[in-house]
Amino acid sequence: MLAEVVVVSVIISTVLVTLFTGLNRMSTAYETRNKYYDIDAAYIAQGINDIVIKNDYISDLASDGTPILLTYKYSEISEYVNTIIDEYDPNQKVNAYLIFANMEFYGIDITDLPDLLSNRNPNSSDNETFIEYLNYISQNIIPENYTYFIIVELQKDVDDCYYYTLKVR
Amino acid sequence: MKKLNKKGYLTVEIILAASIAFVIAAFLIDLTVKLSNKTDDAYLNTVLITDKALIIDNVMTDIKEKKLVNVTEEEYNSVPSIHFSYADGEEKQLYLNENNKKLIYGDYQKEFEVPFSDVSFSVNEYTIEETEYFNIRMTLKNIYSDNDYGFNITVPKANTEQIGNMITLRWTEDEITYFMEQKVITTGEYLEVAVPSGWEGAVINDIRCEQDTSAGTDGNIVFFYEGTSGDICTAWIVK
Repeated sequence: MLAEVVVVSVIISTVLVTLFTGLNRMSTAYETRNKYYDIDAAYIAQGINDIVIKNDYISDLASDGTPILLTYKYSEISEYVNTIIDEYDPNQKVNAYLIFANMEFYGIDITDLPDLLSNRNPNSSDNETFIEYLNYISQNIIPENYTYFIIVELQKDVDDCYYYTLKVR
Repeated sequence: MKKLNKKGYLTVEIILAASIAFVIAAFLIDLTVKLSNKTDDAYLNTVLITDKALIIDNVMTDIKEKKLVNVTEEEYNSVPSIHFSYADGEEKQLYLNENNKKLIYGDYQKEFEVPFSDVSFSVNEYTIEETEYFNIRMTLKNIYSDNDYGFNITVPKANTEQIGNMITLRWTEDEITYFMEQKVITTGEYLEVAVPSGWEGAVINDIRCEQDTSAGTDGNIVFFYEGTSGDICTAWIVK
């Protein structure tokens, strides 16, 4: 009887642990959706894009030859994002990067995106989650379909960052 | 080793097997409960995030297509609300019902899975490089999650030229606003407003503008307004 109990229990345990593992994978997918396709970050990106178009910052992107940290370079965009976050809370910040979609402009492949965009912020070092996000989008974007990207990082608190990449044709 | 009793089971064997069975059963039940909780949380989060996206989409579509002229935070039917004014004269209210379970924005309504315990609205105006912006915030939090399912958007004010002054007419009874309409009144001229069916005898109760006079004749309501172009004027008409 002992042997039967053990055998049946092992079978049932194996089935439920497999279900639990599958659910963990599903939870990770939900977490990815929540963090990497954040709605608030999406509308921030859209608002920033309107300012980029209005002021023709794409010309600067071509002349500079490197990605632009929009929230650092242009005061209008910096003031715009300060209307959304609490500018007196040092844990809240928004970083927005403007980059051509065609990586050949920078002489690299899309998989080198993390190296291209990391350490561009003179105000602070990159969050680890930002580098992870860049690795994620370098594997999930087909850059040939677009003209430029605006990558937004919305930090609501320490270790609580949300991202969105606006892909513009 | 000595063979066990062929006719049945040893007591020790039964106790041992039962103990193992109960321990494994407890583990499996705990696992099942955790699975169920995780699924419920994921479902609720997904539904509320989807609702958030739909609500913002509705508001932003109007802002882009109808050109936002003004946004104010105010009370509507005794609940906090945000009042949107568009260039075509349309006005919409964004508010939650008394249970905080249904959001109403103009004709659009969204019923949530769970009620919200923490609801607040705020509107702020900013000028950035000569462009006026509205920051519109709605906070929606519930006891089931730390997430905020409201929105926080900054949108530019539409650049429109008004021919005259906007006057908002609120048709009210017993302090409840039944409907609103917006008219353009040209400074120095009369505006005659027809009284709708069922509102015969309605009179102007209160009018708030920079400068104003008003009079009613023949069942219609007449406004005569002298003020600064661009002022927003509100009149409460009561039965």
